[in-house]
Amino acid sequence: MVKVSICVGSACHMKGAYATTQMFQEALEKAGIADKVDLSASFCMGECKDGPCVRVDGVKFHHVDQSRVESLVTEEILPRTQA
Amino acid sequence: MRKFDTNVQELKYKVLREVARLAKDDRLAEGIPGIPETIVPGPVATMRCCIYKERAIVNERIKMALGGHEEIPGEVEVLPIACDECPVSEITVSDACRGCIAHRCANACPKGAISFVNRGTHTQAHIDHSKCITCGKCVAACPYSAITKNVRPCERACKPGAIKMDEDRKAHISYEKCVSCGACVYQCPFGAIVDKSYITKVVRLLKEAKQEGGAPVYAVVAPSIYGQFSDVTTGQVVSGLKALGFSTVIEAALGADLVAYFEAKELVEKGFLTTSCCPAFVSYIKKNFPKLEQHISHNLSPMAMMAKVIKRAHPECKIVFIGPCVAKKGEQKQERVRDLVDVVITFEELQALVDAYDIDMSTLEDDVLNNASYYGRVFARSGGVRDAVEEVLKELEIKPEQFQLKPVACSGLEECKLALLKANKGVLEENFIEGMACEQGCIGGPGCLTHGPKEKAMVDKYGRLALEKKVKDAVIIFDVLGGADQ
Repeated sequence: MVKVSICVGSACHMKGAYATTQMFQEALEKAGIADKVDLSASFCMGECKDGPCVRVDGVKFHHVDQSRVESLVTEEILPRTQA
Repeated sequence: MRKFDTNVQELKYKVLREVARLAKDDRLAEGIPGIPETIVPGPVATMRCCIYKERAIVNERIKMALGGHEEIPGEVEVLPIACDECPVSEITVSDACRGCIAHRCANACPKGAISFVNRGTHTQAHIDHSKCITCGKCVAACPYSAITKNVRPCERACKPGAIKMDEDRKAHISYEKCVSCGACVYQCPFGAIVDKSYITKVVRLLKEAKQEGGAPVYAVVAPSIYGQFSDVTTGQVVSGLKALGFSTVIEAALGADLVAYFEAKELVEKGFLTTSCCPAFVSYIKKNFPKLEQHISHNLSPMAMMAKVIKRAHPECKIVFIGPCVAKKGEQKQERVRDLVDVVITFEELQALVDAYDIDMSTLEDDVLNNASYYGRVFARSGGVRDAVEEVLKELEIKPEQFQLKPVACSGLEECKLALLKANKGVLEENFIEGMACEQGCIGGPGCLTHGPKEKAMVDKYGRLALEKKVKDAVIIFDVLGGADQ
């Protein structure tokens, strides 16, 4: 399982973390890997200025708004599910 | 300008601040003996007969700031030396008595306790206290309001009837009845009843967090915080908390959204329910209406619910709840809550903590605090849970033929008692009792810095500032991300 945690703390929430989350769910399903990814919430990754923050298997990604979700799924998450 | 309603609050605050400061500097043991003189410098006594008694009382307050007496089962304690032994509850006749001819008072008295004595120019009513049963009928009967009933403020404040006078005329709390609502703490004009404080535990957690590998400390704040700190914005309070060393600040109101969501479902399933978010109300039911205990919602409180969700995501963290509530300190000790919430403090104690660390919140930038919906935030005032549950039923598209909500929102324990008495007899028309032990709800909590008519409007305004307008929008995230359940 690839662990993906999305920060939903106040700062990230204000910057659209909920939209990011819903986008993630859709993109994972579209890529057919929804069952290989464990999506969970985080309440702060300590980098509030650069939100929304997402952590993929311990690696942090910043400014993950809706437009970046799809590329993150295809470039970072998909390869990990195949590894 | 720092704002408290009363000088008693300020006195308590000063002791908490000094204790927190010493704890921060690791100087508790050597510094404590100096606190009474710092707070009561003298040479003239301003509160009691002499500065030595004032200092002795400060010493008792220090014990409460350090957690009070563990063997005492509630969250509030009487400081016998600070109790001014207010006059016994009794009926007295004042000089407004004109010695009228009607004698309604005497006619109303069921015990024949009222006679009339000659005062020279006219007669005046006189009460024989050996006969008087303090029923108050003469008080109601006198057209000049010349007869008054004096009740000790602590006894009047204590709606569960837990406070009585002991043989030394001091206030005495019966813990079989006490629900730790803290009303007496706020109402005693001499500050002789005090809530236990765990402020030093917070200082310790914040210290440990700074060490390498130390657990991060998260603050969960109650929605009644809005407008509590008169000279700073809520955003600046968030910055203040982070300056203290909290890793992050989360709204308990998001927990309230989750509670509303689950509670609405539970209500439809069971048909009759009382709320469970106010621990003093829950305790009041258990102690006075055990038959109704089965109808208390099985939900965690918003505080505990929020903590549960956070600990699922961050099992290593420590959680400090900051609110207006004394009863929450007792809730934290319950078996199903103690692993979720680590310490509970009040807004009063937060002010003391911030000042102990010499943080001037008014100079800080605004940080953000926005997770919950309007409905989660208005839990802070009477009628808030009712509104939220009503909204969830609408959002879940529950049709009237499936379930029709008939709520009663009880503000304060007296109203709670009325609804519970009816429910106990099976004659309550409503099917959902929202119970809040404090009048007006949490905004009337004893741990608030200020209490006023504007607080409700403030909370409603705060609710409207929420990014999410619907309960569903605030909690939907957990459908995707998991981590939230009853």
